[in-house]
Amino acid sequence: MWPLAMCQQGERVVIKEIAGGMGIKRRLEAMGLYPGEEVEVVLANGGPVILSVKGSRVGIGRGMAFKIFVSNNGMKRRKEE
Amino acid sequence: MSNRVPIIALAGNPNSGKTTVFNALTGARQKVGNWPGVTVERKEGKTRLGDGKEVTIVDLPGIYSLTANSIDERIARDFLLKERPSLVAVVLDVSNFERNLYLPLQLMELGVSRLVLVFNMMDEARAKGMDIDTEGLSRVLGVPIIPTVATKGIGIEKLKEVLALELAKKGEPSPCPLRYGEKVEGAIMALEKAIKEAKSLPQRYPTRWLAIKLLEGDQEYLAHISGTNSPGEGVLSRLTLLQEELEQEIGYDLETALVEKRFGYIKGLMGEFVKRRWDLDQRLSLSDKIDRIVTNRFLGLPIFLFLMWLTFKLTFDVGGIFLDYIDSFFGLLGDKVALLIQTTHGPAWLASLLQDGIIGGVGSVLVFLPNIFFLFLAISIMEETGYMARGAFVMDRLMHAMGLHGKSFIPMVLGFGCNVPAIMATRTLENPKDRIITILVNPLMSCSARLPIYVLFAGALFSAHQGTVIFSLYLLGVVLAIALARLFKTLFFKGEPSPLVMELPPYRMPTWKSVLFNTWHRSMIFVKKAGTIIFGTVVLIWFLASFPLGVEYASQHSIVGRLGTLLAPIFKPAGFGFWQAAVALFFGILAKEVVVGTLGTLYGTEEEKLGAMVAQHFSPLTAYAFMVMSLVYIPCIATIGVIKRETNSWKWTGFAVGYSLFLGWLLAVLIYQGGRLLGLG
Repeated sequence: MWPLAMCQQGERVVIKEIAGGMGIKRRLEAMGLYPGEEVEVVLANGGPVILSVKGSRVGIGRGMAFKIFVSNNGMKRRKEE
Repeated sequence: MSNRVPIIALAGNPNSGKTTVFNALTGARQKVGNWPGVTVERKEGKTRLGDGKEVTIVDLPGIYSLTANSIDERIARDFLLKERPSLVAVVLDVSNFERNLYLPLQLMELGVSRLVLVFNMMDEARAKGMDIDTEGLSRVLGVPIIPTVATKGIGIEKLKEVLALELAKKGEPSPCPLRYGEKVEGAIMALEKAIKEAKSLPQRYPTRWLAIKLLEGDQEYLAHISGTNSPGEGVLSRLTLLQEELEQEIGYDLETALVEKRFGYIKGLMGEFVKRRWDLDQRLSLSDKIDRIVTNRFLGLPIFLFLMWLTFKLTFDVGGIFLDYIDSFFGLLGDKVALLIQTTHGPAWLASLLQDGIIGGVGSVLVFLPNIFFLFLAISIMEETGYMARGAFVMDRLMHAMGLHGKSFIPMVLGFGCNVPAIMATRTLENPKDRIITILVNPLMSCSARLPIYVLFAGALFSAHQGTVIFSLYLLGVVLAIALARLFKTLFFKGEPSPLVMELPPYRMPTWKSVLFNTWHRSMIFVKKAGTIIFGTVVLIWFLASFPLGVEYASQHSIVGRLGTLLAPIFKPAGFGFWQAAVALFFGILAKEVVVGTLGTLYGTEEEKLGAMVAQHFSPLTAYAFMVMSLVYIPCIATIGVIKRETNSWKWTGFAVGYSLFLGWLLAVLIYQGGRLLGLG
């Protein structure tokens, strides 16, 4: 597990954890970013990170990109049921 | 109720084309931008539906969900809860189906209105290789679906027909087809029962919605049930128990589980009703390639600065070409009108009122219309192409260093146009602390109303370095904004700024029609101001300058002269302690361009000769001090009003007025006294 800010351009990763208050978590959720979701790192060149999430592009500020933890094991979390 | 015009609310994600649908429906031409939160104002318009019935359409802010953690989402949710519009049309960017369907699901879960889904941007979806079975989807979701391409007006008539049909049905709110599985549903039901039993609990929310939000652990709803004398205690204890039980069973937090379930449901719908002929997502789009360059760590900032430079170049150089024409037009008009009155033996006072007062005052402001037009043109183009949102990211680090938020950049840039819409644009900032800081320092961005003052004074006294002097004032405003933002942050708002997360809409070629419309619309606000506030002020000043009867026009013995004489000593240490300057600054509170208009009226001359008059009264040093004063002191009345509305606090409003008044005076004094010490006086 590592922060999103360390990802390589073009990588596909799974969101593992979002460190931050309820407010930001909920906002990210509504945009389709929540633990278990697979996203593609469209842009990562030391500035903001741009992700492809459910077909749309979401820009994440550098600061926030250090608070979203991802991994690339591709294994989704156990789902309910 | 039956006599009232029915209300249809329009909801949708930012960038879903909601505003375009709104315009197509109501014919009301409003601005369409590309950065999220562009429709922050409550807009409504009337339209006749398919059956000729008139309805009011309310354009809700662009939102992603109904969690109420941003002001926009709260506005939307509270509107739906309070007004209970019988019908909500949800606009979706179907080329972005998966994310866009989340909001209508939330609306169904809220369960207060019937829904109609507007599947917008069908052309883009098709270009992406998507085939959507809207009929099948409509059957499963239990709501009508109307495919549209709002930018081309396709599907709008059909939408009007369906809205009329649905409105006539007067049915129950659309039920939510989504179920969370046996265990969670059991918990929801148990909680609903507890809520219904808690009789003293205010009935603000539908019970199922409240139960779900409580299970998610949403702070706002928790506060609702544990309010004064904790009327919902039974609910609270029940909730804690259920939450623990469920989380143990699921293995991770309940909230994530519920969100996953919703998106899982949408994925299921996609699998069944959306056929993708090929997967375009794999391919790097042109938009991504542009982003690689414009958000590049090294190139991003230079590109941004270059675009800003271009904006100013366009505003001042191109705008300036037209300035002279308008200028001489008003000069000529004034002379002709005066001559006409003279030859027809009209009263001399009328000639004076028209030439000195109205044409001189209003004319001296209207000459800046070209500058303002080109500034808004540049801003509109940046918005419509989608660059504005990228700018927020490029500026994020810099903004953080200032104690601001990346998104604060948009209001700051808009502040160069007018502080009123700029302050309204701070609504996209989720964190109230970030908002208040951005609002407090926003008036320091030299709005277009201050430009006339700079142009007049710099032109009159720094003709060789006019551009540099004006630029230095813009820069001073920015530097002050940065310094004060830092200061306010450490004084009043400790803690980290909220993180920057923003959707980046694909770059779009702006249509000239909408760019020009936006520019025109915003410029007209300026013209309207010239026609109302400024017109009224200059007429008032003319009267004050002409009375008591018999005094020489605008002399020191007139009412205005006496008022100015009273105020003038305050400005003595700043070098412009004469009454005309004091009067101009006083009336400048109404609108800053009035400073120029007032001087025009007081010196009894129009723009053309005003420069020469100013050069007689001011030295370069006092002129600079005066310009700095004009830049900083008191936001204009309209800005003060919007600060009050947006901060909802007289304390902050008073603070904004007080600090700027003192700071402006202090800086003017420092500049004048410092300059004199250096022998520049």
